[in-house]
Order: sequence, then C-alpha cells, then structure tokens
Amino acid sequence: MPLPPNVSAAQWQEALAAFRAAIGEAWVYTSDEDVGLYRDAYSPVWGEEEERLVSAALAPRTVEEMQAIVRTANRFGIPLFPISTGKNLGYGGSAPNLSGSVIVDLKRMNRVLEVDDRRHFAICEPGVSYFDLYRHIRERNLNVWIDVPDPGWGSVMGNALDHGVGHTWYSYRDHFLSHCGLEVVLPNGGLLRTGMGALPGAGTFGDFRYGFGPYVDGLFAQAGFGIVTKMGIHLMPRPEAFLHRRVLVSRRQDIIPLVDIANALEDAGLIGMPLYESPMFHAQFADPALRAIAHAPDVWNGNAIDRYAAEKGMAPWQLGLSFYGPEPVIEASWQHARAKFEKAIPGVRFEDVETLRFPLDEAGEEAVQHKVLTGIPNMNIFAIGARSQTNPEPADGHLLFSPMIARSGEEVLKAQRIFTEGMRDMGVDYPDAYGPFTAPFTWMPRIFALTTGMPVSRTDPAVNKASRETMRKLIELGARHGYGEYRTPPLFQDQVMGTYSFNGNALRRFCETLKDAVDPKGIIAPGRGGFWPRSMRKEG
Amino acid sequence: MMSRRSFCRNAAMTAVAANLISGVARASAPAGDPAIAAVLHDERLIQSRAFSDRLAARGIPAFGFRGDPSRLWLDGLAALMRKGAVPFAGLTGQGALFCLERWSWDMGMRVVARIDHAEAGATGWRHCPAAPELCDGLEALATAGPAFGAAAADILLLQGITAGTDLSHAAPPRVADRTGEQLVSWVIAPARRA
Repeated sequence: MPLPPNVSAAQWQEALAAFRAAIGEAWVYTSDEDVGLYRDAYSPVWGEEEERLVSAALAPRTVEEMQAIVRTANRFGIPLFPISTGKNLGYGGSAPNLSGSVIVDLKRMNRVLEVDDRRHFAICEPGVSYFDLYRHIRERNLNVWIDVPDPGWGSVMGNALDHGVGHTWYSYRDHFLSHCGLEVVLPNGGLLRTGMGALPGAGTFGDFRYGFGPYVDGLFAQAGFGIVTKMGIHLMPRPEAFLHRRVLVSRRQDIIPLVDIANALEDAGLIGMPLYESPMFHAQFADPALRAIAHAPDVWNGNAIDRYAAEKGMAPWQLGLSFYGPEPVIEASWQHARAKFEKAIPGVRFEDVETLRFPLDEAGEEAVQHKVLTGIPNMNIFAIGARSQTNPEPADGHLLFSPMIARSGEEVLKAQRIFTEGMRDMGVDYPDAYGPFTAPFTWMPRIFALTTGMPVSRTDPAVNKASRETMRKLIELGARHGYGEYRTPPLFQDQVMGTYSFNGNALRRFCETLKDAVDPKGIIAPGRGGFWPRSMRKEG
Repeated sequence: MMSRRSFCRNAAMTAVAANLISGVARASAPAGDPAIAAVLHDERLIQSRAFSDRLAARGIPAFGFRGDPSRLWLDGLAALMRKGAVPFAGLTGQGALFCLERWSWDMGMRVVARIDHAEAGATGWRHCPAAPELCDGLEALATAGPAFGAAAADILLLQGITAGTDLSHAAPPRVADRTGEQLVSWVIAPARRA
C-alpha cells in the first residue's frame, strides 16, 4: 500500500508509533490485508493506477483519541480520511480522494448518546448504524421513528454528512436537513460544537440547530473541514397508522398533472415521499415489442407508448403515496388526494397497496412490503441490487449518476430525452441506461434525481473504462442543461465541482479560501467536495 | 504486523443469540464437524436448503433467513461471534454473502473459500471454485444438475477451512450467458496471520 504523499519511510514509522501511543496498538492497521478492506468495493478503477488506496487505518474510541490523531497527522503532514461505517457504495465506499491517506474508521465510536421521544431527537456518535439506532429505540419502546436509506448498515451520521437520503416525510428523509448540532474535531486538533452545543450548559443540542451567528454545519458535509464526532438528528414521532396507495395513469403525458398534484400534496404536508415508477421499465425486458418502442426515434411523442398502454392495460407511470398519522386523518387525506387525481387525470386508476397500524410485532415488521417507507432498516436492496439477477453482466457493483432536475413532469420528459439520446450518441446501452421509462427519484425534497447506474467490473477493465467515460460525459451533458450532480465518488468530485461554475467557479474558489485558512496542510480529507488546499491544487 | 481486530459493539445481544441458537437451530447433534460451527441458508433457495441440511445432518447448527440476512446476523450471530469468532458456511445469493462478508470483517474474519454457481443458458449450472483445493468434488457438482447444494456442502466440509485463502473482496466470475440469480457457496472463518 502507498505511503502518505511527501512523507518519508522514517517519518511514517515515527507517525505510526505516535498513532499507536495515542489509540493503542490494536487499533492501528497497517498490513496490506487489513488496509485492503478499505478499498471501494464498487470502484470503477479497481486495480488501476487511478484507484485511491490508503496507507493505514486508525480506529479511535474517544474524542480525545481523535484529537491526538489529528495533531499527529498535522505534525507529519499526513492526510486523514474519516469514515463512519464506510458503506457509501456507489459514491466511493470508504476510499479517499487522495491515495496514501490514512483512514480514520469511526466504527468504535458507536454510542447512542440520547434519544428523546417527547422532543423527538437523537444524539449519536459516528459509528451508530441505522440498525443500531433502530434497535436502541425498539428495545426501549420509544415513541419515535427513524428514517432509513435502502441499506440499513450505514451510519446515521455519515449518511447525513454525505447528503444521504431516506424515504418518509421530507423533513426527515433529507438526512442533513434533519440533523441538529455537530461536534467536530478541527484540522488543528481543536474541538468545535455548533448550534446550541456551542453554549455551555444548554440542554438543547438536539432541538435547535442554529444557535447564534453563521450556520457553519454545511462545511462539514461533503467537505474536509473537520471530523464530526457527534451529531443530533430530529426524529419523527411514531404514527398510529400508515397507508400506501398507488395511482396509475394511462398516458405518457399524464406525468405532468401527476407530479403537479403530488407536489401540492407533499408541500402541504399531506404525504411522505412520492414514489414514481414506470411499470413499463421492467416490462420492456420481457416484451421485445415494448423494447422496440422504447428505442424508436419517435418514442418521445408518446403515441406508441400510449397505444401499448391501452392495448395491454399497462400504466406508463405509477405513483406510490405514503400517508402517516391517525387513521381517520390519513384516510381523509387519501380521499382528498384521490379526488384531486380523478378530477385532473381522465382514466386514472388506484390500488390499495398496504395499510399498517403501529406498533408492529416482529412478524408484522417482517411482513411489511416496503420496509424503508416505514423506517425499518434492512438489506433487501442487496437481493435486488448490484449483485443479483436484475443487473447485467458483469454485476460487481454500480457507479451512480444522480443529476438533480426540476420537480415537474415537463422536466422529467425533457431530461429523459436529453440523457437517453445522449447515452445513445455515446454508444452505450444496458438495462439501467436512460430511456423513456426512467422514473424520477424523490428522495431529496423539492427536487427530482434522475438517477442511473453504470456497471463496474472486477474482471473487465474495458467495462470500467466505458462506465467512467460515460460518467464523465453525462456530468458534462447534464451541466450543459443545468442538471447538476448532488453526490458523486471521489474520482469525479473535481469534475462535478467544476460544473458549478457560476462567476468563474466562485463557489470552488470560496471553498479553497476557507480550506487554505482552516486546513492549509490538507490534513482532513483533501479533495473531498472537489476542492483542495493551495499546496495540493493543480495549476490552472 | 498489526491485525484488524474485532470492533467492540453492543454486548447486549448475547442473550438474543442464545435464544436464536435454541430456537432456530434445526439440528444440534453433538457429533458435528468441529471446523464449521454454523451454517446459514436462504429459505427461498432449494440449493441453499440442501446445503444447510447436509451440514445440519453432521450436527452443525443451521440458521435460516429469507433474502436479507441482517436480522439473523445482527440479532444473533454477531453476538456469538463477538464472544469468539468461529467458522461458518452457507450457500446463498451473492448479495447475502456481500453483506455477511463485510459484517464479518469487523469480527476479524474473512471469506476463506467460495464456489460460485451460475446457471448458464445452454449448458446448465456452471461451478467456479476459487481455489484448486476446492476442485476435487467438481464432478459431483456437475452431475448433480440443479440439485447441487449437498455436493457443494461436501466439498466445503472437506476443504473449506483448509483451503484457507483470504478471498476478501472477491467477486463472482463473469458468465456471459447467465440466467437467473448467481449463487455462491462459501466459508467465512477467522483470519489467518502470517
């Protein structure tokens, strides 16, 4: 494994000795077989020169140990890359931006410090996974829910700091939005608390996020301004009941009123995450006629899709609606929503998907159809995701491209065409490639992510090369049309940051100015977020 | 050389694990093979159940899950492994192994043996062992057709631990004409140190 950049072998040994003295020999990992575990399992540069490899890994237990690590790193100029549980698959996993970085693995800092089910917040250390927090709440029968991403093994804190997302109400499924207060070890080893944590004696760390003065929490998400060691997060009170209902429309253009009504329902606080899908996406792989329609140049006028929909009784679009609350209230909300759709969309159909009353026992939880909609962490995504029969060969993982587009049906149709024709111009095609049945994701509130996944391979570098090239072209194509990525692996962060180029890349230059002031040596995650300290910046 | 040791986690799951052992184990005869201490199966997969039955018949405790192994691991096996990591085996989908492997890393364990199984369109099931030691029983696998679970268990029972290679991060081989879910027989065991 590589040494940290610009560090001699002798200095490295001296630094390792200091790390061992600070946190204990057992928690300093240097062997290739141990350090190799931090490689990005979904890396699109696996085994190639560009793969970002680490020099060592450290697993501190306390804030004091963390501070000692950072001070040592500062002394020797060693870049650190903190991970919480390292499960950021599809967006870089646990691999750093800079080869030779030392991973700071925070799994041992895994205490749930507080859960308040009257004021509805939790305070956690970085190593607390969604499974851990869920278990903590369930064992104590606390009256709160958590919001979970698809795989439940990730860190509550790490996911929020990566701008990760979940599946319930808008104010909870945007995990950074729902965070409240941070404790941070700064690049000089100092300790900072934000929000009410900055006021000694305040008991409101998990209640009020702003405190007084500038709101600096954003500097610690998708960026390397410090290592977060504690985070508050707002939680949802446990609802009495949950309804999941489905709206099916019969024409391609019906996506326009479908989105408008869902937007109004969600922004009024009546529904949780709208779940858009196209039943034709999977159907096209079973029916060559539909696949041919999808690939026809005139597919964009919608006529062939509408004819197919009429013949087969298959909806081009469907929308899942989640209602949470007292049963009479959410039933009334559903009837209100139903009336809105009936009035606006001729021929609209509805399906009852699921009705649940809480609390559920274990068997009841197991039977829930779409567990993440009800805050139940699980790993089902791995039975349908990267390593399963739904993926093309090779099926070793995926590289995610997630451009954000405006939340309207017109924009979905426009962006679909731009990205589909763009990919076809690039000469790439695989099942998950863009097409007329690509549906928007609504994980982030008030915006759509028109996400696609490109295959990665352990055995075929040509596949990875093609995916990397496609990714770079998609980033460029999206930016030309005003569609920016919200999250991307380290390999592409410089490029994505470069697309946010207003006024001569003023945003990046401002971040660089801050980095130069706060972390001039690049001790904490240099390059994270697509900006670097002066000493590491490339010319031009 | 430093080794990556187990991370300390909630110790409160020990009791849950004990309950799981007594409640879910399908066989607990004391004359089991000492090398593999537990076997996992995905109840949705016939080959997985056959694999598990074969080892359970040797007295190895068997544990089932359906697609997602998280509850089985987090609420039961992890607590046992924290008390003392022991080898365990299974025949599952690739996704389940991907999860179990990464959880096991935090217990100081590694995948030490694997045989990948892919159903290919024209030729039926194809079996790809990850180490030469695992090739001895390939003929039995090939002749078993789709009912290869027991034969895979026999191979891993004999050679799974002694093969002993660190197969961390290994991915399934590419099978261009694959149909259906790609399966894998595996053993996860405490890491060996040079």
